[in-house]
Amino acid sequence: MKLKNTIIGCLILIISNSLYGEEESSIPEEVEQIVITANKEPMNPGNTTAQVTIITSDQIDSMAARNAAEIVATVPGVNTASYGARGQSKLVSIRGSSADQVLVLVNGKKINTVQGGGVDLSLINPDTIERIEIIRGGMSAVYGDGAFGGVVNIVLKEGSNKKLNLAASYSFSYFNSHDVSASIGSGLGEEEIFDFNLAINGFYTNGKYDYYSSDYNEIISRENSDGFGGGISLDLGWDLIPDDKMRLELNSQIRGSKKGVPGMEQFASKNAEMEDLFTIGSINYSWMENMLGSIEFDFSFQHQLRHYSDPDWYLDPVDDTHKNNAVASNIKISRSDRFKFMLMNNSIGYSFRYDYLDSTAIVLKETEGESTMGKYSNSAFYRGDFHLFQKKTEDLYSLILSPSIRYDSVLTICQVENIERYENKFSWNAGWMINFDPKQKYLVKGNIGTAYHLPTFDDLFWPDTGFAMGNPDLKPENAFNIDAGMIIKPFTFISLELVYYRQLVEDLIQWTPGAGGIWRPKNIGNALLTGLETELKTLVDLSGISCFLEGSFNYSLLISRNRESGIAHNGMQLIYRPEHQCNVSITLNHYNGHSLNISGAYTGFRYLTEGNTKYLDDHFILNATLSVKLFEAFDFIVYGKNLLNISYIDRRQYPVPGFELGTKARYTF
Amino acid sequence: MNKFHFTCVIFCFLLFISCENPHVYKGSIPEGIPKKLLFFNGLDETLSIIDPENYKIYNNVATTEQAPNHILSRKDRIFITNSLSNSIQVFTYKNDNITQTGRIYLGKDLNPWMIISDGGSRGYIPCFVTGDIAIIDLDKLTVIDADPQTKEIIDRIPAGECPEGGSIINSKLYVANTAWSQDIFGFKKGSVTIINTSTNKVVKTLWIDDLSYIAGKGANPQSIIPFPDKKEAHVVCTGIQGENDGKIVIIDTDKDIIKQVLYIGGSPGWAGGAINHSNKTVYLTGVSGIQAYNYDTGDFFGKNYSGLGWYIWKGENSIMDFYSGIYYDRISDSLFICRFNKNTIMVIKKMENGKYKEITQMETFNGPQGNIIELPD
Repeated sequence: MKLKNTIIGCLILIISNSLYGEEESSIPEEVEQIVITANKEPMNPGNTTAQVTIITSDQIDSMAARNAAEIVATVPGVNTASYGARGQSKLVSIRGSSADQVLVLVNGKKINTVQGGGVDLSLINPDTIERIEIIRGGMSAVYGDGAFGGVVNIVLKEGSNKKLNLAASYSFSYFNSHDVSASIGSGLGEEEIFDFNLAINGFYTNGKYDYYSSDYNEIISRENSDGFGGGISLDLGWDLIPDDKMRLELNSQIRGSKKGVPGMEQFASKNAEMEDLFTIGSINYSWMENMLGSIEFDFSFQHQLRHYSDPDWYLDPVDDTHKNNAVASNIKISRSDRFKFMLMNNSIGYSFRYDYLDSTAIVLKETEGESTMGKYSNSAFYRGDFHLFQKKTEDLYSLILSPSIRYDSVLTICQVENIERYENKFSWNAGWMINFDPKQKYLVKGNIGTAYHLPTFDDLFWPDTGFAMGNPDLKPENAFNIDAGMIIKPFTFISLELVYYRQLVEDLIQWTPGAGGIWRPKNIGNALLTGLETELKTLVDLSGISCFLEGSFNYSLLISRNRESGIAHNGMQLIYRPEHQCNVSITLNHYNGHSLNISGAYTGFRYLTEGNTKYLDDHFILNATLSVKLFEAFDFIVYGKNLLNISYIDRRQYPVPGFELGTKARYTF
Repeated sequence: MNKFHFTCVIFCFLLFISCENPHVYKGSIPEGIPKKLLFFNGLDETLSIIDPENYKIYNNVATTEQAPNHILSRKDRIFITNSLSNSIQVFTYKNDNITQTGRIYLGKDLNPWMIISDGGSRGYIPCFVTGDIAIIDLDKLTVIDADPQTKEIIDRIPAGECPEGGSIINSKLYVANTAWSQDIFGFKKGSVTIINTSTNKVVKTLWIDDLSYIAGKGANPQSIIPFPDKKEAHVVCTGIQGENDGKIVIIDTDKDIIKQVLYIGGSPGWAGGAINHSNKTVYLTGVSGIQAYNYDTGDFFGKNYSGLGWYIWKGENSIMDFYSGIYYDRISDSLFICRFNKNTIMVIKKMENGKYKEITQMETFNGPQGNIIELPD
């Protein structure tokens, strides 16, 4: 009670002082928007109410990651699952969510497909990434459907800095793996009103590796894990009015891969192949500081094709193609108003998205090629940011309130099954932050709100294949979220972040076997996910040896409990959710640009069965990266992954490789 | 203690608690239970015990491997067929303890369904994926005709497509081939492969589906109930799950021809079925409910639900209500039924008015399945 009164007293004091504040000289000119848009300034955890982690390209370079999944895995509250070697699927989970419950954006554009299955992060080359923003916690009021466990926004490198920049890298590692990437970007024109960036990358791996069989009695060779792929992206920008006041951008990207799919350990598929092709094109227009405020508009088209074939599948040959298409458009009008005591930013917007799936697997054979499964989403949203402040002695105290509401109207049509589903969802979120210090040394913040996730087309319409079958009667998953955290920087060389969260999930969708062993999805009931995310960061200047030491340690506690009433496993931990996770990273950076990074990741035990009768052992993976700057713009990197050669799995029957060694050469100008 | 030290202490504490051991839900069998029934929880991959006298369940008394599918009891040994691990676990039951004492790894890609004992030392295992029959030695716990180095089977008896259940009658093994087809998302023509167990050679393939076969809607024969005294094998054909096309095909085992077809309807199964020989009743599991028929006369018991089939006990949902195992208890004259999707063991009993009444439901772990067997004293 004492604590509650203190908090309420502080809030009243801050708000009342704000109302009577006299000076406004230290007022920030702009309140940061939580809504992610492509290639804008990175979010600042100290100036947004969301629990967000930013990973920059420098950090990515220091860890010698091979794909985007390895990067996001280092963030507290995030867990990734690997289905095998270099080219195999890597899926992400945030705060105990499923992969489908994480919204993945590339340059602010949603790339989750309506078909479902999560976004495979193994196909995104780290050298193309400018930064990754990871927002932990459900927030459908801001992002709509799918932002259930959290959001991952991958911002790719672009040439909007107008300077000529060139980059190239080549990497060679175990399993005869080769990675290559190159990019060029520059400003063009007399006043550099045009800019462009062209990037290209490719990879090849033979993927073959040995592993201990599940009973650890013998060493088995994992075959059919080879793959190759690549991508090309071109971004063009045109400053219609200088200083980004009016800007037009065209972004396009194509990437594809072809890989072997080794299948389950006990039921290997020696000749199965998967081809992926991802294409996206978008137009972004922004007109800032006009008479209405700011207007942002974008239109995008994306096409994701997946072709899977297995001529030697045990029962019959498999040859399926899934074509996921989406057309989306957003318009947002924002206005900032400054008052004596407050800076206010209000945004309203409208989004439209049409998702379309044509799949030879998900429809009845007799209608193959004529299937129409579509989802029309119309959304309207409002978001406000109210920055209340006061100037007292020499410190600036501020309070940010960020209310958001969103209304989504979704129509799902499956003509094959003659089904129409209407869903109208209202979501809300209230974020708050109290900043006790102008340098953001002490701040507390939190969120309360709702999230939802609509069933995917696989969940709804998967036909009876004898092993699995969709369920058109599924309800959306709903969640109520609350989190609160603080960031403390007691010394210049230490930063500590601590976040508590709680998510109550209703109508959780889970595939379970039913009659005749046929797997079907159903709304199983309630689940409670609660936990703690902590991160300690330090930066120490060791001038005696001309180095500075960068360290980070994070620990995540996740208690995920089944709350379905009337069953024996009520109260038990949900499967594949590690209760404990830790990441530690120490980087010694020499003033000349050389660096040595040693990092470790501990993943606690994970239950395999809903009754918590079996579990996967915990494991600790140790990695190291040595980067030597040979010339001004040239780095040579040697890295080792899983140095202790630990045998572990993330998913049953999908062994992952042990020790891997690699080298990389990188030129950046 | 300054802030830095305090922070370090907090992190050390967190690290310490993260190293705690997981709690695994494991049970034990109490002493003094006169009769014990054994079944498995397919999803939680454990074995559980029923005390039928006191309506009590002792959960998770042992752990199976992935996708347990069948129990065979032989002397003091219990054999569990694990379909996804391609293995047979061997447990020994002694002094109220079930302890794993052996394991037979059959080899990759097989998907073993069950063990059919010949009464001697041989066990025949239909392999769903490869469409053949593996043979193991139940005494030596070895695969017969296995490669001595890899331990993988090099010689199996070919059966039909996707074999599941089977029985041995008078030195002949009858195996039901479901003929599932991924290509047509349905069942092709179902058949029964007849194998001479003296020579391990196929002597005949008997087609269950006749000229009325519609593409994708095969009979889906899943199990075979042996009646050696009657010289009959009753083939339980499940048909399409949730539809009303279940039937019992009776084979004359002398001539190996189809003798009679009982159109019972529904989607019956017998992998976990039961027989009450005193009134010659076969109890069938499956989706939607419990079905029963007289194995002598071929009469059906219960009520004929319009368009759904004959049931003595009808569930609520024709797709999701899955009755996955049944045991007839002579002493209490009641039926113990596994409810797969409800995670309970239900006990029902026939009343004087001929209708069945629910006596109790006992909570168990995830995915209870039969066959349910009685443990030896």
